[in-house]
Amino acid sequence: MKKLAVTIDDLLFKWGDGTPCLTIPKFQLYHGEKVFIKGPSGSGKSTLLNILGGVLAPEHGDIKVLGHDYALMKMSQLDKFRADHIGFIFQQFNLLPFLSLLENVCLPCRFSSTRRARAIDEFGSVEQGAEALLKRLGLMDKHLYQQNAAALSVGQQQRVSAARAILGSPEIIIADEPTSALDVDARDQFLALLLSQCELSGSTLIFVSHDSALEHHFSQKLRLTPSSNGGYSL
Amino acid sequence: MTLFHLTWKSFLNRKATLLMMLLSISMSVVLLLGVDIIRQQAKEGFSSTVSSTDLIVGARSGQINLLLYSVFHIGNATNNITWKSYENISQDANVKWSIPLSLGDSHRGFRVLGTSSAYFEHYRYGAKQPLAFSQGRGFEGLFDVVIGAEVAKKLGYNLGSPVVIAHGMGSASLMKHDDKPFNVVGILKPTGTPVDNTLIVSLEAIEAIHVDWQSGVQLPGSKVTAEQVLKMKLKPKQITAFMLGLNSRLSTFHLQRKINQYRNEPLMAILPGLALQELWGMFSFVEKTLFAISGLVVVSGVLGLLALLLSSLNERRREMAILRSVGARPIHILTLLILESLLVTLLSVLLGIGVLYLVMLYASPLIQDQFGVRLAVQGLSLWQWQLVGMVVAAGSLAGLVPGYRAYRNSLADGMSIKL
Repeated sequence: MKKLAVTIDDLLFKWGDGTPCLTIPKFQLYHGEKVFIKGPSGSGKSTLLNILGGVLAPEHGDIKVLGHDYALMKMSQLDKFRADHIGFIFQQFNLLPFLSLLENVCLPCRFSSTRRARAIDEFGSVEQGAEALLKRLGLMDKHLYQQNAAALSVGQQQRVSAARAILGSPEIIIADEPTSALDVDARDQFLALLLSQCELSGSTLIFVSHDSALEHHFSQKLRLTPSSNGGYSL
Repeated sequence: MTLFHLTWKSFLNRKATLLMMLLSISMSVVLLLGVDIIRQQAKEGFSSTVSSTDLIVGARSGQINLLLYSVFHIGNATNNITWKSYENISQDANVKWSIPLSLGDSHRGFRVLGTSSAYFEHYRYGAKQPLAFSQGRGFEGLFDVVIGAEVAKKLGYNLGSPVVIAHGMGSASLMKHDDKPFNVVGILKPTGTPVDNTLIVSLEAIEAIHVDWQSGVQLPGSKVTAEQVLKMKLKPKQITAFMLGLNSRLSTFHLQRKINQYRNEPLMAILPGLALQELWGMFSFVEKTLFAISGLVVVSGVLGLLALLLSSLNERRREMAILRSVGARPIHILTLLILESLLVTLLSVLLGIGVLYLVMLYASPLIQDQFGVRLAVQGLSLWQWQLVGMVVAAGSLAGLVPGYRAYRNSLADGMSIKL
């Protein structure tokens, strides 16, 4: 039987001024599933990701990720949980420009001993894991690895951030519009690589975008739609 | 790759602005330590102007006044003392040696000191160093003069140079003892004390040039020539002050009391060490002002660092958000900023100390040349290390403010900041 990776029940999120933003009556995701969540800009996509990451706390509702109830966890526990079990890929500008490619990819394993241990388990060392993932994602040129991330094209940067999110095999990978800065060819190529890598590492993928052209890559599709209270609901 | 490594890389990424900051703080460190070193060495130099002398005796006035005119050759005595009193006291059983001092004449702005050969034998300065000759010897003949190193340098005198002594102080339109010129027979090595600016002659010579003077003017019609004076038997009638070295320091207070209660003449004996301390105490406000100013410079440096770090926070918000998204906790962000300010101040302090020592190495001959103050290049004192420690601590504390702001930002921004 498949295990649940994420469950959300009866969730309501409001901003500080009281305007309702996001309601999620029920959301379930099993291990290894890949879900596409479509929403126009302003529909609370980033809010949803921050709630899933445990950075924002909802007004009410239950969030369980990998069996952990966020409501019962302290901020520092959430920090550790996120570092150990969730990898993030953002729209753009998400590499530290003053670090080399390899250092960028290795960053999460510096902050999480769990992910470090897994990377060492799988590849022998964190650096070897980073190199292997960069290769799998199509960055073959080894002397690129020592260069600063600022020197890369946007497409290359996205592959590096994908490698960073995957290294250390976090159970959940959250991607926030990672393809919006890419042209159509690069976009499809990147998505294919990302999906296959998630398949390889057995990660659950939550992919958020406004671009319905990407929907066909995913088996499970959800949509953020305007709700009667003025916010959006899933 | 540790947090420090991350800080370092981020630092290098913004090196232009941070380097300016580093320079500014290191200059304030140079100033702070420089002022303190000069203060410390000035104090040391000052208190070593005269050493080994147990008592200085002069006419009754104030102890600072007596110290100023007898040792520093500044100002004038209120009164002279008689030769007889000098002879009486210097024959006391407790007295080991005595140096008579007769002041009042000058040569081109430099003081002329009349004394005995005991001056070269017993006078000590600094760490009990005796006077030494760089050329020549002490005075023997009546018109022999020994000059200090500074006098020789400023006036370009050599052995054999003629010297005409003027009556009183000042450099222009004074009445001159030009009928009785002197000859330079010795030049002293530099001492860093007022001795360098002094011309030294015998007491008899002071007597000789004044033999035909009365009340500060030459008596008309009773001119005594230099040749005549050489044949005269000259004995000083009065001197300005004298220094005493005692057999045992234990008898200092006893003798001091005895001199202060001397019946024939109002005299005063002072302990030079105590008087020097009191005199230095009068300058302490200068010392404190200098210190306060250099302290304020450091504060402004640290405030500058604070302003810089705060203003860079906005452009670094993305950096912090990325770090948060890869698992850095808020405490890591806080640590990052404190490490950065620590790094900047630490490097500044190192650079500052380096610059300071370079300046001291190159400037100390210049300073000695210009001001006669010897700047010894020595290690930092405990207090100076403490000052350095305080600068580093203040700098790191300055990192707390932006660190806390970044901490708050990173909590509010989460990981999805879009720029």
